[in-house]
Amino acid sequence: MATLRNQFPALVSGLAGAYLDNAATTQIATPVLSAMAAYETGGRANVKRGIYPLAVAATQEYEDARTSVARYLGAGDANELVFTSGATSAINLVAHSFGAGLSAMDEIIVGAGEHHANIVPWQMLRTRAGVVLKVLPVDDEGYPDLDELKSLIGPRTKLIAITHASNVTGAVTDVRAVCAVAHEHGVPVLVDGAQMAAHGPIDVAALGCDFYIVTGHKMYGPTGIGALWARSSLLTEMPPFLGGGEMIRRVTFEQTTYAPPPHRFEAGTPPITQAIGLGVAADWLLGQDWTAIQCEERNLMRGLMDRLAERPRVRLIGPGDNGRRVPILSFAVDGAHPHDLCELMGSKGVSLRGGHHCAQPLVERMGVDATTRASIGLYNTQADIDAFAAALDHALEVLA
Amino acid sequence: MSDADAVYDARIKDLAAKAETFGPVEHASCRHEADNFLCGDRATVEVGLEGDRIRAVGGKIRGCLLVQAAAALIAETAPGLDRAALAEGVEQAHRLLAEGTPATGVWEGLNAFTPVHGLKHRHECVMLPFEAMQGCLAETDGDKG
Repeated sequence: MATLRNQFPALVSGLAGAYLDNAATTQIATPVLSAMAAYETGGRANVKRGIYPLAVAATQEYEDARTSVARYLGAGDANELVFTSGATSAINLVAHSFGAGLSAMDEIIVGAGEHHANIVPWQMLRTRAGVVLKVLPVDDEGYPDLDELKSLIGPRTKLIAITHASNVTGAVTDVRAVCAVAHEHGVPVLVDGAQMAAHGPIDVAALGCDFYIVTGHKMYGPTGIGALWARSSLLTEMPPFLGGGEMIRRVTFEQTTYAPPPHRFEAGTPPITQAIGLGVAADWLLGQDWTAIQCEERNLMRGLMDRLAERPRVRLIGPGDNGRRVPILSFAVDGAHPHDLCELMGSKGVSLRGGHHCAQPLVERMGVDATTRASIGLYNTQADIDAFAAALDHALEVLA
Repeated sequence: MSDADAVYDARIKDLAAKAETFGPVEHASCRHEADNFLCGDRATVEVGLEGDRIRAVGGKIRGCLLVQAAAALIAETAPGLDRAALAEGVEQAHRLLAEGTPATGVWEGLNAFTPVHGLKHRHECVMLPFEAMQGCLAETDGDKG
């Protein structure tokens, strides 16, 4: 891990401390920063339209980034990859564009374990179009109930929207199984991969999903950039979400025709620097030894679990250590509110997240008001776990 | 001792411990919920009025130690006060948190929150029960109990 850590300036400087809030945002890698700086300082230009050398180079870098992200997601066709400003905007894009084809009483199945970003856009679509939302329950560990899925799907079901990995429990959805059931009924599946993409390359073809969504700042890349991958057959049928420059074929005052995907969905000047950064992050991630990283991440997570289990009044939320999960660990301490723990542990240099994690229905389902969450990234070490344990003891002592 | 440690001193912990008795108000004149949209903490405040004066304040607190302590302080201080005195308490709480200005008079107990002055991201925790109380009383405007 030392070699990996050396590629993160915030870790080398020590400013990030024991950073265990990777599910909120990861630190940014040096190759990503270098690529973004090179674009900004090497003579930047807008993309897609200019034909002078700087503009041609910028367009090439932007499209290369699209190819890199598509490759990381296991997508064969880079034109199926739309850049967005993040995962939230990607889901909203689908809710508006795919949702434009839905009618009142059509049904969308949403997982009970979703981040608000995969709940609220569908509620807004319900308000606009009169669609019906059905909720797929989760079990006590946070896994979606796939048996229940079969009974929820009906003739009016038009989409299943579900997370790949929970940002609260770390539970990983069996997306292949969801897609198999859904496709038996001709229903497409949208997968929120925001928490999954930091833990190894994705293979959308193997998963069998129809939409897949990621965000740059949880993939050791920049903020302000994300991506939507969708099957070409779906994108081609979807109307644009936002209108403006760069997304049209021809404009007259009588009528406008639109560019083919993905450009149809990228109105205006895109976040070029951030897209280039995300592309480099995807390439950088793809070049890592994921067998070793996943093994280390799991070891560290088990270490965290062990440390928590040794302490009184602690309840772990979510799957056990051998479950299908990513290293995102939520816990509750009887008599110690997560914000008080995070405040006190933060003062000792341990960065955690406390609260509902923008997943209020799931937190309520797990029987708590809020949790404290530690989330591990590829650069974390045993020293971070030791710092966590010491800071937790300090916090519990202060709060006693 | 860090700024964070200083927040959790005996005065605030003692206040928060009293929040265990922060329960429903019999024959409450109003009830209001206030949410901290950043973290999801919720203060549900009920106020019992007798004429223009506060008879009792209670409700339900789902929040951190600071929310609990602030709710307990209100429940301890507010009975017997009129609306103007409550508004003065809200104003003093704002001034203490924003400027570090010590609270005086019946709201002197607010000074327990002096260490929170330096932690701007926690000011809302202290103010949440006050906001719920204000919202509650606003629902009774024109109704003198």
